[in-house]
Amino acid sequence: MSRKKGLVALSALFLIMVAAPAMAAPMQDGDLATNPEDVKVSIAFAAALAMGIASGLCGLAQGRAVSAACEGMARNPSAGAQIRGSLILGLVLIESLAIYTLLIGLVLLFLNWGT
Amino acid sequence: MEHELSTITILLNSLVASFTGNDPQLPDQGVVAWFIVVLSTVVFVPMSRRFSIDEPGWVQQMLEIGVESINAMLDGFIGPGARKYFPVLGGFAFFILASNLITNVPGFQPPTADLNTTVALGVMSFLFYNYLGIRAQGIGYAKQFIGDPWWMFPLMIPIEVLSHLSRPLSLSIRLFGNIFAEHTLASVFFILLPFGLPLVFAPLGVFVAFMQTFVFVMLSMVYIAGALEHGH
Repeated sequence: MSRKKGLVALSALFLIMVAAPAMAAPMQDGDLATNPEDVKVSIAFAAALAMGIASGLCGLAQGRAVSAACEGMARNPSAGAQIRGSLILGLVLIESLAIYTLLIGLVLLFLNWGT
Repeated sequence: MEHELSTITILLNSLVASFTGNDPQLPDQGVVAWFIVVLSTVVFVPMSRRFSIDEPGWVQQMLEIGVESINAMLDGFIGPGARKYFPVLGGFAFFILASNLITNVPGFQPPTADLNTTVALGVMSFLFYNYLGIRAQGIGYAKQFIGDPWWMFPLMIPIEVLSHLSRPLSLSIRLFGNIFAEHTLASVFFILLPFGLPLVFAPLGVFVAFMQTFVFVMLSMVYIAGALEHGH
C-alpha cells in the first residue's frame, strides 16, 4: 500500500514540476528578468514560505523532544532535574534553526534589492 | 524599519552636541552596553565590600544563588577545578542577562538586539575557549583537526575547521535572532493594540532572556570542556 502511494505521490510531483513553467509570465524581447514588482512579490513569497516551513518543522521536532522528556521524567522522577536541563538545551538548539530562517527572512525583506 | 534610540543615547548625543556643535550619532547598542557595565560596577563593587559571611542580607543571598548555579554548571560540564573560569563566564551571563532584560525598562533598547554586540560576545567566547585549549595543551591542541587515523586529515581538517567556525556564528545569531525577534514582536503588538496585548508578551520576553543567557553560557562551557578534554 505504501509503495503504491509513494509511486502516486512521486508521479504527481513530476507532473507538477513539468507543468510549473507554464505559470511563468510571458516575457517580451529585451525585457530584463528583474522587473522590480516581480522581485518584490517573489521576495515576500519566499520569506513567508521559508518561515512557514521552518516553523512547522521546528514545531514537530520540539514536540518530539518534549514528549520524550516527559516520558523519561515519568519513568524516572529522580532524574527529573537532569532531564529538564537536557530538554531546555535541546529545545533552544532546535529553536535556533528556526531563528536562522527568520534572520534570512528579515535580510530578504529589509534590504533594497536592486529597484 | 527605523532604528529607535534609547533615551540615554539621545541625552548623550545632545550633551556632546551642546559642547562641540555637531551631533555625534553615538551607536545605540554601545551606549547602552557601556551603561550596563558602568552601572553594575558602580552598584556592585561597593556592595561587595559590605557582604558578610555570617549574616547575609537578601541581596547577597540572591546573588549567591546566581553564582552557585553557574558554579554548579561549571562543575557539571567541565569538571573539578573549573571554578577559576567563573569570572569570564559569570561576566558573560550577567552582561547578557542584563542586556536582554533592560528592554523592559522604559526608554532602553536592548544592546543584544543588534548584531554588533552578539557577534562581539560570540567572538569573545570563541577566543576564550581556544585560548584555554592552547594554554592547556600547547600545539597538541591542533591534533583534534587531524583525527585518529592520521591519513584522514584531508577530510577531517575542513570538517573540523567549519564546525569550529560555525560555533561563534551560531552563538551570536541565536542570541541576536531571539532578542531582536522578541523585541520587534513586542513593538509591533504595541502598535497594534497598546493596552493589554504587550502585557502578555512581557513574561515571554523575560523567559526568552533567561533561556538565551542560559544557553549561551552552557554552550560556552561545553566548548571549553571540549577544548580541554582532548588529551587530558
